[in-house]
Amino acid sequence: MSFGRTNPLSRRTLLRGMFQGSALAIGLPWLEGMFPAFAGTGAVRQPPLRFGTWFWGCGVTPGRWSPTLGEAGFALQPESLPLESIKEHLNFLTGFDAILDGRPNHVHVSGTFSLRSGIAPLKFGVIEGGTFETAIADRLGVGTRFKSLDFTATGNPADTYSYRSAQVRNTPETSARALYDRIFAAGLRKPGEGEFKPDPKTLSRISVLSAVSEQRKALEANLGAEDRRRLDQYFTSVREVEQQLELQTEEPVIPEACQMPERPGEHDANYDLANVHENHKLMAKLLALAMACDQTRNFNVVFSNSASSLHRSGEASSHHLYTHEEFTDPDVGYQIETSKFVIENMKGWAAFVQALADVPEGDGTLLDNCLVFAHSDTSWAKIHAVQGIPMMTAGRAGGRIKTGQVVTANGDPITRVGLTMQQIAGVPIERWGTRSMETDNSVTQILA
Amino acid sequence: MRKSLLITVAFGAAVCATACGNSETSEPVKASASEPVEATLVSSVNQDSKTIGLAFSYFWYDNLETPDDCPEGYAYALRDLAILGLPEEKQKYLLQPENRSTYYKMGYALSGKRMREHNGTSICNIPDAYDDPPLRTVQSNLANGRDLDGKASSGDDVGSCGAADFTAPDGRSGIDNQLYRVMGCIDSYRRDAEFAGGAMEDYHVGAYRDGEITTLMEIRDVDNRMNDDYVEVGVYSSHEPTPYDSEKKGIGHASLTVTDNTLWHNETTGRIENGVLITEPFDLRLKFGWTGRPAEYYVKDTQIHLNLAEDGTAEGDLVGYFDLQYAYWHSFHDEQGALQVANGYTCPAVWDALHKYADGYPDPETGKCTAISTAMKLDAVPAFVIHPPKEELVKYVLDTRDYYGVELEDIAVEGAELREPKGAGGPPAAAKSRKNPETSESKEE
Repeated sequence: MSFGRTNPLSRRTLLRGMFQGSALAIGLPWLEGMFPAFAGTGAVRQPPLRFGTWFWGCGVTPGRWSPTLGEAGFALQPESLPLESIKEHLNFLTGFDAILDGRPNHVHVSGTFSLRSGIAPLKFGVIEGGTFETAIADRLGVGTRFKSLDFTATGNPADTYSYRSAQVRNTPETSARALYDRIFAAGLRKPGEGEFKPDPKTLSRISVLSAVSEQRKALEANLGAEDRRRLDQYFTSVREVEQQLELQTEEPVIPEACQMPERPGEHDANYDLANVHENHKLMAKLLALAMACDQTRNFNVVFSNSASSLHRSGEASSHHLYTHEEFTDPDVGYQIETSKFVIENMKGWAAFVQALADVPEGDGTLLDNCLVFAHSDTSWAKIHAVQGIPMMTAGRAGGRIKTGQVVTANGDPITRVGLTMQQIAGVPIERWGTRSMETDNSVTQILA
Repeated sequence: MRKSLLITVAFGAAVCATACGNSETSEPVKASASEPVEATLVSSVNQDSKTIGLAFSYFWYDNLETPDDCPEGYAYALRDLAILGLPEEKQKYLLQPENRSTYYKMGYALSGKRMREHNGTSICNIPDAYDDPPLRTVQSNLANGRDLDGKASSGDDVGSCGAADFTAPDGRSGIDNQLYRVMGCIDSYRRDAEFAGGAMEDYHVGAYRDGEITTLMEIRDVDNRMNDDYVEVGVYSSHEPTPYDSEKKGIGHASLTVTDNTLWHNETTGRIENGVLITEPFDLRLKFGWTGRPAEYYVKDTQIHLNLAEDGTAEGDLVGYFDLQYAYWHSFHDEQGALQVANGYTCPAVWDALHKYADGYPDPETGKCTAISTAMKLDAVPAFVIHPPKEELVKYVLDTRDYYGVELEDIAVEGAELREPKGAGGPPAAAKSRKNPETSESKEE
């Protein structure tokens, strides 16, 4: 079989094979070889990348969080000071607004979903579209056991802001033990541990996909570079399915950087601040190891929920309640207890980034190959402001972005950030968002 | 000198707002669908234009703050009521900084208790169900605002329903601004208060900034921007956002479309004296929801004074009589009862104070005033005000009966259809009308 530019490939071409006495056929994606006028461009492949989100509730105190950028780098403010040890890995994104176009500001909801879905919700509690990180997961997560691993440190499975579609919410793990069991106990064993029995049904599925392999090689040998890239992308996705199946049929090959953790004990999982810190710390480490073991390349983490319910043991008021009820101290000019909760959230963020930075990978660390996007639901929670929602990135995304930047937008739509995250992750998208938040303007200041 | 802005329109779509229509050089550009053309977009600060377009960039009560306003202290919050009945020693204990976490929570606890006592209905929907201590109000005689009725009332005349006028800081007498008297000692309506200081202003102005509210203004038939004895004025709501920069300053020259709901189209006439627009009194209705509430701004006998700056911006004030129910719904009511808790007042106390200080539109049968005087400050930036096609215009009123717990007659507008409020939360599970005798009977003494 030969496909030359003078002999275009039929759009109806199928790869055919036999399996268990039955004929099977696999269709092909759109290829330039089917349309010779388009043939001949080069191929560019993106290196592997991990992407994830990290969320905290109830924003920051105006004037006490946003750093300035001087010759010595970030000048952190009291509420961002816990980030001192990890600041070399960070970018700060400020001055981006959720623009509602006459739609209501549903408190603690509109900001998050304007940012994540590009759509300001019309009805309270009704999300009108999937969130952008799921598009990234679709891009990056096809070759791993888990397309995404999500957890909340609060113990409440409702605390998630990742929606595959308007109707489908991704459910997070709520305890370190459950996260461990999902990643390490159910499908990933230390070499030589236990008796391994592959599922015959899974084996048969792999056989079906393998049956066309020889014909595929013949096809590839006769295509132009661009079509080979397209075909490679297509079969990459097929191969990723195979690989996910293989993970279930073979004793796992554990990467060098992969370390098998001990199964964590039972811990209280609730909104108590000390418990949240402890659970978050344990689950962050498990997640980092899961990525080192290439079990997933996507994640969503909730440290504190929207309208933060964090509270200190023995106290009646939560972080959220403090934001509305606490007196502004006349001497210092801000709400002291509320600010302490912001600092606790930032301590959590620092711990999470450090957990990724602690895992060696290649010549650097796991964090170097991550793009972590952190944000809150509001800027100043006292009035539920959705202008200037605080956002950060951590990691260098495998060299795709630089760090140490403070980007101050001029009231630009917050969707610029979601668009940029998707583009960095290789999602083929030029415009994103709706109405006044529709944008094709990437945040180029952070690009390498 | 003519100030115009040239832009290239890629595919010949003529970009022209209302300011284009009255200038010789501002004819809409005709272009074929395929040829790029250069179009002239007349700036909204075009000095030759007969139409001035504006978008509100700031709009908030013109509340005076002096140390003498509230000699009794600021208004009781619900949490204050919750501890009033406790022994003094216990009150002192709860107010110590290290114990305030409990004190802060007590307002929500009392709000929840009251809701349970009324089958889940927000106490703001049945404000006459409790006799809270009277609202602490402004006791000084100074206020910003204007004389709406041409009288310096001492409160003895029939038309003022017992409300005494203020004097302005500049000495003008007969200042009608009784809504300031009501809200002036609620600390969320003041900027100098420790608890919730400035919160209400930030909420309202924030709603403009995040695009939840947009108000447009159009001054037409302007022959002379400094002095003109007759102009036409329109004030409109819009669903499109006024742009703001990162410093939260309004950005001018946006093209913004007027809402299709004619209920929120307001027309009047006026004049320009020494660069100041002065409108004739008119009834003003605007969409004015903030943080998701389906509120409206309904002010009778509205007058606008607006200083028209050469750069196209404007600043001034808006005064009038706020319909009493709308004043309550817009600024104080909360479907869940949380707004009162977090902002330093109780719905029953405010409801009573509004009625006590209402000073306009006496009911011909009862003699009781049905509106309360108010004064607001406003800033505006130049804008291209675009009107939707006539065939798209509708007239509707938001069906807020369940939201506010009221009857149809309280919200109905002649010729307007009822529409479900977009984006509002559902009605309380057991919402009942304030006029329901059952709830009235349960009023605590």
